[in-house]
Amino acid sequence: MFVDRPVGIDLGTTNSEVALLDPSEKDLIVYADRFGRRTIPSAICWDPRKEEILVGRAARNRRGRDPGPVESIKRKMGRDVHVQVGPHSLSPAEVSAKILDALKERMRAHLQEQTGDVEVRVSRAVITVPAYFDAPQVEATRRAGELAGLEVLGVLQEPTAAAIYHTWKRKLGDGNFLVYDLGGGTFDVSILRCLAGEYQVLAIDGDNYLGGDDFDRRFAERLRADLAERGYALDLDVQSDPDDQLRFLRLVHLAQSIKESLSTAEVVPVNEHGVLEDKEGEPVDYEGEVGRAQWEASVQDLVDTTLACCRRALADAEKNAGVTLADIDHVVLVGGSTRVPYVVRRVTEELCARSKSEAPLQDEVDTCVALGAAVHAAQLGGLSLGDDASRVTIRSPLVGRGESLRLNVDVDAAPEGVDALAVIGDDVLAEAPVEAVPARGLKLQVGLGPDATQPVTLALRAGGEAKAQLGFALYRGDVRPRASALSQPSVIAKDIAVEVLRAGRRERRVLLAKGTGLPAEATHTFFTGDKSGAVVLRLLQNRLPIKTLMVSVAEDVAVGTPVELTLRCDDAMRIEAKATVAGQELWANIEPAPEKARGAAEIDALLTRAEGAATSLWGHDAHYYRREVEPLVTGIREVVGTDPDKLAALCAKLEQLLEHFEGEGEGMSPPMHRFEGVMDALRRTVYRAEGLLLGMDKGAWEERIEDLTSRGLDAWEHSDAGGWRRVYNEAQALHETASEQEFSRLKLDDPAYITQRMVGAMAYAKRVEHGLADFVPSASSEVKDIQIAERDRLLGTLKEKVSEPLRALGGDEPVGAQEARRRLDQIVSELDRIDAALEKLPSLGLVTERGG
Amino acid sequence: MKAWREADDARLTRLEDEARLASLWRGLAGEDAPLPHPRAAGLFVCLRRSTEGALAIERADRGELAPLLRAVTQPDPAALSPALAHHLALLHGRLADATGAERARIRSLGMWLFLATEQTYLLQVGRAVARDALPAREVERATAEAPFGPIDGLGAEALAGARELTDRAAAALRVLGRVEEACTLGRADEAVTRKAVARARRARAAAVDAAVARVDGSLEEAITRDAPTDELVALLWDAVAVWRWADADEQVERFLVQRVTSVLWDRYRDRRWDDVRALLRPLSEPTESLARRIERDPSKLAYAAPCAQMYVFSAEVAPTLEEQLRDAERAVALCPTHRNGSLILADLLVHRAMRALDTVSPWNQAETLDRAEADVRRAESLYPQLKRLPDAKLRLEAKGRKIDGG
Amino acid sequence: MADNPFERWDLDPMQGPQAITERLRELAEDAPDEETRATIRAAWEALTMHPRDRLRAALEAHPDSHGAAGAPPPPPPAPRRAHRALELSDLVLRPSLVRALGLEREARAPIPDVAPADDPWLR
Repeated sequence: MFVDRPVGIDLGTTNSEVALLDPSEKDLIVYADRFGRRTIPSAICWDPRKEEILVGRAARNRRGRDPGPVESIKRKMGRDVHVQVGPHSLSPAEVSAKILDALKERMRAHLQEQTGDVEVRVSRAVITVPAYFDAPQVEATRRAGELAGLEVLGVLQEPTAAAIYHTWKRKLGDGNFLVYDLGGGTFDVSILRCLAGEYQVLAIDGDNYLGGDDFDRRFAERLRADLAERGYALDLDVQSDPDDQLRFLRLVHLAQSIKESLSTAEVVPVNEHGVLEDKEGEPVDYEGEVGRAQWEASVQDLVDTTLACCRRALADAEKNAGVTLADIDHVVLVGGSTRVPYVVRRVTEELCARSKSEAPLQDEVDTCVALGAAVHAAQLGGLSLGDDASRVTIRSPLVGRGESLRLNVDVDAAPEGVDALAVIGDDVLAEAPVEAVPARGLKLQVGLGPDATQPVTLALRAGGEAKAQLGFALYRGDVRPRASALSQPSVIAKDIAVEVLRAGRRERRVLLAKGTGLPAEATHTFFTGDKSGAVVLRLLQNRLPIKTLMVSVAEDVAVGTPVELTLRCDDAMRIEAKATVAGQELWANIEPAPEKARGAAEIDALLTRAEGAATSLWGHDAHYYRREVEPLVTGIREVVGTDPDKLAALCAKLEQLLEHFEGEGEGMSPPMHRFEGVMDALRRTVYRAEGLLLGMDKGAWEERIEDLTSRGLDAWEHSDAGGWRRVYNEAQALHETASEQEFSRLKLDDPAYITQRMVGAMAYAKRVEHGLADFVPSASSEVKDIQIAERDRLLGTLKEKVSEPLRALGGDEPVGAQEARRRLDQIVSELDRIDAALEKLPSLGLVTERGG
Repeated sequence: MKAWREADDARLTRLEDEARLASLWRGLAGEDAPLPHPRAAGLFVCLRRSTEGALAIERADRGELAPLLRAVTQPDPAALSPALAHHLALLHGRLADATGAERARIRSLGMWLFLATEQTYLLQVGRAVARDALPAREVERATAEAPFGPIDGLGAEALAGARELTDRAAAALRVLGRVEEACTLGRADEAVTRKAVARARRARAAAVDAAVARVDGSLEEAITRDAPTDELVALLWDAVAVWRWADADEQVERFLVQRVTSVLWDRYRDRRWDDVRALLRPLSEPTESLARRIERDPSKLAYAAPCAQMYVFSAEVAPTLEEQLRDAERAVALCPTHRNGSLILADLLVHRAMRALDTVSPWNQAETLDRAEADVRRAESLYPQLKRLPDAKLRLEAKGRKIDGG
Repeated sequence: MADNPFERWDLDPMQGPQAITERLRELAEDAPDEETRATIRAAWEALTMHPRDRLRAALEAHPDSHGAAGAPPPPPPAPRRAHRALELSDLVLRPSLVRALGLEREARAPIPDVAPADDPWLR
């Protein structure tokens, strides 16, 4: 017989933990090695002697040897990169799978030791991720679980897991939590509410690339500069020289040990000889003292950043749920890096002091995430029992205080002919018919005796005869408050949106809003906006593209044909998108964007581009830009010389964001300058008129123009696309009406006038031609192709119907005035059409929404 | 055990009121509409507080439903209690949901706006619900905002059906156009009326914009692609459907006359008269409607020229001279400075004069010449550079009529 | 307008989020299918996430005029039915039954408002 209880796993940047909620619900069991160490280093390494992969402490112990361990792989999750482990080239998900597999196996052995003859299986897990992980990062984590042979019951955000642990441990039914989770590589903050035992995630914020490791790198850089000043050749090229990378790594490890010592002492004497060799082969000695104040000053801004995240999360919580800092009952610290006294002090001063929590809760900072995940895993997966032919899962708790307990049981597999399920103690305690296997949700009301533990047997019966007997126990005890049918503890951390066209403007339409509980599904209907033969659905997480779906459709599919987009996100945060248009269906999963290596010049160019984009944005866009792009720019500047991994991740992110912002900064259609042009022309017309124009004097006209202008600016500022178009059209109509007086006096067949018009048409044609030549196609290859095809078509039309007729008109062949006028009208009309098509080029294939 | 307690008495009244609610509801909404929540029966408690109300209930219990129906559908605002208004606002709202009755929707809005004017009642309810979960300021804001929620709801409904031009959305649009009636019904004060009307207008415009945006998208694409006339005509009929759906909204008319001009010019230049005619056909009603608006209200002059141009096109392709002249006159009347309008009217007048001169006979010579002279004089004042003018004047001169200043 | 969550799930708007949570949890646990559970969950989110939304929904629900609208909130819910003596409401629940059982009586003079604490229906 076997038992299978799902575990909770915290797959950390530096260390990982695994835990399980005992079925009695009295204890949480955390894996510990024979020395009682409850964390396993998240490191793997190739052992060239045994020719095998080492995981955990054995791997970390190879630091400084060749080959060295692969560490902090979590920072690479969701990226299209590979690391070399001996002869194997592994993706970050594959490296993580090795770690998960080791955790699974060690936990199994650990439990087996305690259980005796009943076989213990560890096959199901809830894995935690930083709350602020991007979709590809979550996807990679889930895949790692599957590669390790685990059924991933759910993916839970780390701060939520921590809050679950604290409410479980303290038996808290109600309260608001702020969870400050500073791990090795990531920082997360979540605001959660526990309401009669149910969870609500009110807000999430964080920084995927800020953690305790950054403290160490920051201080390592200080040490390097210090040593360089003392004359060592330590001008390092960390980005491309592997030897320099190793040298810097030694300094990072030194910084790490200084940090650890400083958590208990005010001043640490450092006396390191030959800590590394400098670029000239000189062994480097470091002698001196490091004071806590000195260390704190060097990381102050990093801690500031985490507190800024907290303030943003609190602002969101107030918006979403009316919860402010003053309403926070508990501030919870999670993650090894919250051991740093400076972090505790800042959090106490700046968060606790203004909340109801006097001091932060900081027990089990290393393991509380795994423990909370274990509680959640038990809730999701219950307890499975079985043997060779049977498998039964009890989904409800096995603990109660009353006279009886209601068990909710699934029969997943059973021997032939099984028709009933019974719980047997001294006697048959309860029985339920099994109509077919698998059977879901069988309810058994079982009497609960006075003993703390009551061994019982679950029998699968066929015609009254037991075909399988599975032993387990019922427990008398306190039922702790815990989430049930209402809570959805895992939420979507960032908005998932699609790019749509609204009044000619590219906009984001949120499909699944951040904070939406999982599982979630949303279906939206959009409409085709052109006849380009393609429908382009670019999915974004916040503003970061995560996937582009392109559906090819026949070119005769009418404009305005519905495009149905369904987005699904399951408990394991697997995002799936389905698009249906004109009877065609397309499925897609989220996948990481391919990455490229960047040289210093490219990084410089990227930063310059970022500055340029900032100046062209205003209003809402500028706000988002500041919030999302500027921290990246700061981050890139910071890590250029210290952290190539983080640099690559940040650059990739910045590039994608820039493309998005540059696209969105185009404003509404028609563009502002056109409106201004029409208004100027109108003013000139009014100014030139003698006496009354259409019965109005100049004062009345000025008033009217003023009113129109302010309505236009108002619509523009509020991004009211419909209103903007209305005002623009009205301005155009008014200009047309006002110009009639002047127009009626014009001699249209006057050769001078015709020449003037021809010059105008030529200038117009030149402008359109330049517009086509300067057009930069999208970076995404699918979209690029249709854009280029359309541009070429337009260039062809321009040549055939504009440039050549214009040349002919200006040629030797005499043309009558009336005929010339007619041809000019034709050419300008054609130019208008090409110009309109040019304006649509960047948004080709995008969908419009209801009302857009 | 006590046989009958006071509490049971109260409960019995409640049950009776629920039964009354059920029969009232069937009377209003029919048999199939799902019953409102039993708490809606509280409206009888409120009614009972006035003598008329109590009497109406009593008569209803005896089978005479009319006074009760009157008390519910036409409550006297002077005697209306806020709690009763609250019940009625919700009851009529649900009635409108169930039956689609516009009148019920307007009554519901009226009751909400009554509560907006009254102010204190909703605030009290709000405070009791929020207790200390919300700051006082927030409670005030939320309760002040609540009575306008249904207007936004109608806006959302209109917007939701704007693409498919659903009947529901059209009904919502119509009610939004009648918000002033609701204000009167609920004796809303000036500030509430202003706010409600402005809200409704914005909501209406947004829904109409959405409906127009759909046809605009298709038309723009077709025009950019230089699509065949048939296709454009079909799209125009589609746009006219939007116009009818939106209860002949001015916004749609403006959009139509402006959007199609360039297309008509293309056909006009190529002398594709059948195409021009086909394109004008769907536009005639909306254009006429817009023209009337401009004539009624001279401040709407912005669209005078585009609207006049439609009549110019129409004058070009009308089957008879009379109809041509009628359309050209209309163009000039709409926009007296319109170049093409003046040009075509002048041309048609000269044409009529020439035709008159061709058919002049001895017995009506003087009269004919008077008319022809008047036509030519008017043509000259309208468009002095007209090419046929000198010829017409010469012919008049030959008949002894000299036109000065030519 | 969409179904009001207070009325759809027969909840008292004057009750706080805890009581709403507990009642909805019972409903969710007994829900016949996942779809109903999702609807209940959505109602829970709507009524407990932001007090402003709960307030709005409360204003869109019929006030309890058989109690006293706008009066201070009633005391917390009483123990379950099983602990109460059997009362008329346990026997006769719906107006249709009132009539079917011939319990209709002639209309009576308006009764004075019952203070919430005295009204067993409110508990």
